[in-house]
Amino acid sequence: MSDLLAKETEVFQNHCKEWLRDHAGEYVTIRDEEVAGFFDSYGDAFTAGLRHFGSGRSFLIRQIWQTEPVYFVF
Amino acid sequence: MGQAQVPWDPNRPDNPFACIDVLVSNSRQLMDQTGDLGFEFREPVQIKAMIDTGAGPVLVSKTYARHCQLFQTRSDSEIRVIGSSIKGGEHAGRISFPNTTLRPYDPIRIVSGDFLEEPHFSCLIGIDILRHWKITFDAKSKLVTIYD
Repeated sequence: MSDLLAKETEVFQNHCKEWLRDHAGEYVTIRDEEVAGFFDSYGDAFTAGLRHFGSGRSFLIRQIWQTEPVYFVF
Repeated sequence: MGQAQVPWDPNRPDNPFACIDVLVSNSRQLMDQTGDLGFEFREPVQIKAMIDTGAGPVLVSKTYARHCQLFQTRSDSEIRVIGSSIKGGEHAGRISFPNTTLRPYDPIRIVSGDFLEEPHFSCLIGIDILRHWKITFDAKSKLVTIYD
C-alpha cells in the first residue's frame, strides 16, 4: 500500500505551504501532478475527482493544514 | 427522521460494546461510473461496527477494505491509539445501516487499519458519523437508541 499515491503525496508536500495561504482547511484533489481543485468537504473533493479524473485509478484527497492531522482512536 | 435501537450490556466483560450492523461499500457515484465501463465490485458483507465516541473517523479493517476494493484516496494516514500509532489507508465509500431507518452516508471518508484479535467488531463508528446523530446510552435498559 506504501507506493500507492506516492507521487501525488510528494506533489502535496511540495505545495502545502503555498496552499496554506489561500486554502487552509480545504481539501485538495490530485492525480499524478494535476490538481482538480480545492473543496470545502471531503465528499465534494471526491465527487470533483471522479468527474475530473474518472474512476480508473486512485487519486489523492488531502486536507490542507499546517500540522499533519492524526486520527485518534480510544 | 430515522431511528435504530441496538442492545448494549456494559456489564458483560466479554462483550461490553455497543455494536450496530453496517454495510460498507464503494460510493454510489463510483459504482455508477464504473458500472458504465463494465467493472463490477464485490457485494458488501454485513459487519458489526462498534459505536465509539473515542474515535474520529469511520474505521474498517484493512482486510474488509481490500475485500470490497474500496476506492483509495490516501495511503499513509496516521492512526494513534493509546501508546502507539499505526499507518492506515483512506477510502471514499458508503456506509449504511441495514434493518434500520437510519440514512446512509455517501460519500464519506473511511480509514482502514488492522484490527488485531478483535472478535466482536470489524468497524468503528466515530465522530464523523456520531455528529449527525442524537444517541442515548441507557445502561439500565441495556439499549442504545439512535435518531438521525
